[in-house]
Amino acid sequence: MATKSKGRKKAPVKKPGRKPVPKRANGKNAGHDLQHEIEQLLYRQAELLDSQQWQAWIDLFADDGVYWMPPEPSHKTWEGMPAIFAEDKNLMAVRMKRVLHPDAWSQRPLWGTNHVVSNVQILKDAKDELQVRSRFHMMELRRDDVRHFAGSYTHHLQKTKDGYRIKVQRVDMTNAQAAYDYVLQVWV
Amino acid sequence: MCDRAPGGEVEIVPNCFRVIQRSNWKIFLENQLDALHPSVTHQSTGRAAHEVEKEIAKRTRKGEAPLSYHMLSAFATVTIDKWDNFQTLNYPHGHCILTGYMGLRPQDPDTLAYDKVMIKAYGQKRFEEIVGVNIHHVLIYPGLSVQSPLQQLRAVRPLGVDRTLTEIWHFRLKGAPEAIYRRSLAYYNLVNSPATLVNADDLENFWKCHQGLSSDGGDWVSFARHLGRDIEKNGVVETAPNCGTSEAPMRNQMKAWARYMTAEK
Ligand SMILES: [Fe+2]
Repeated sequence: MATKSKGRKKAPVKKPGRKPVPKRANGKNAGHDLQHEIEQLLYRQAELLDSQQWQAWIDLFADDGVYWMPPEPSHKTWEGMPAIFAEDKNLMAVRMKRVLHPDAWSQRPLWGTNHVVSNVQILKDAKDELQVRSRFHMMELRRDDVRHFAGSYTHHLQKTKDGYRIKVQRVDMTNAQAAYDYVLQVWV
Repeated sequence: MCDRAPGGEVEIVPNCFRVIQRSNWKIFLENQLDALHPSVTHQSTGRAAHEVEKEIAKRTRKGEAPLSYHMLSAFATVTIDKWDNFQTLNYPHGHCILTGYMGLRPQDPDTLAYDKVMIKAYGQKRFEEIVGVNIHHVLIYPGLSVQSPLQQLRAVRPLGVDRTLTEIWHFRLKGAPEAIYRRSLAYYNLVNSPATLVNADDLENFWKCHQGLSSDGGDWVSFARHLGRDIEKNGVVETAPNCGTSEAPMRNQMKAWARYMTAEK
């Protein structure tokens, strides 16, 4: 028989694997100049991908920088874990050289991407490290087929005398768990 | 694969990579044990990895790149003539085995540590039997492709005549040192992830094969390579020495398929 629940609190509805919407660093608005500088960096990164300037894209990373795309949002590290991408600069160089090789057969058809990056939020503004969250949408054309990939980027940026360098770029793709119609050949 | 675990069991790592190929499932299975294509299809990856591997070796004091680079650079360093050194064994019902490849018993410190744990668990005699099993890759026709020395499994699910889903899993050997798992993981990430540096070119070629087959180009595909040289013993077709690129596995699979298709009810 059903009874009235005695003040039983409803557990907060938690979507699996979703983190709460992060607050800005110290609850304050980051300075306009900094916001602008970071946005320009993210736009430049997207532009380099879409214009296929791979080496310049790799150069945005710190020497020990890592590009990481976990297969699901609950993953905290790429160490010892399955990953869609987990590449240091050496592996990035392998990927670039492969794509540029004249005998990379899969690279012969018409292929191009278009990234849109938005919702740029500075999550943490420490002395020499910044943490930035943004959202992306990438459309890809290969032969006559269009695919869409979208999700969030989390950039850990290191301040250097030549501007910011990427220590870690985490890519949480909304469709990371979906079946892939063909594969991803370069970074998203 | 379970025998290779000191604990006698494997643990499934909870992640499945799913990739759709726009080609018939038979093309994928025919490719799995094909020793002729890797140095051609994957040369761009092999050469790129080999270049970077050499650069790392030059830079580091130990003079060696991580083992995972070797998984990729082998496509460039193992040239087409060397692939004939491999051997396939072809069983009734389309099942096939590719024997040793990439050195089944390497002598690096991680493998030696693993050997120790295995000998402790099984004793010397049984250990020799287990690691002496000369299987690199086995095809369980028509649905599974398993690489037990690297703990990888691909399940093949036809979605239509021109669409095939592959579900890719990897395993942890219970009781084995972490380094052995890391080797399996490196292969899983580099070769089998949806951002693979390897399979992009395979899938592109499968698509082309499928396009060719669905055209009016011709009714026949030749699978005659090294036909007549294979050795048949008790219903098992072995490729002859130095004929590892024989298309015996494709012939074996087609034979099974033709039998299934013409079987009486
Ligand atoms: Fe291949």
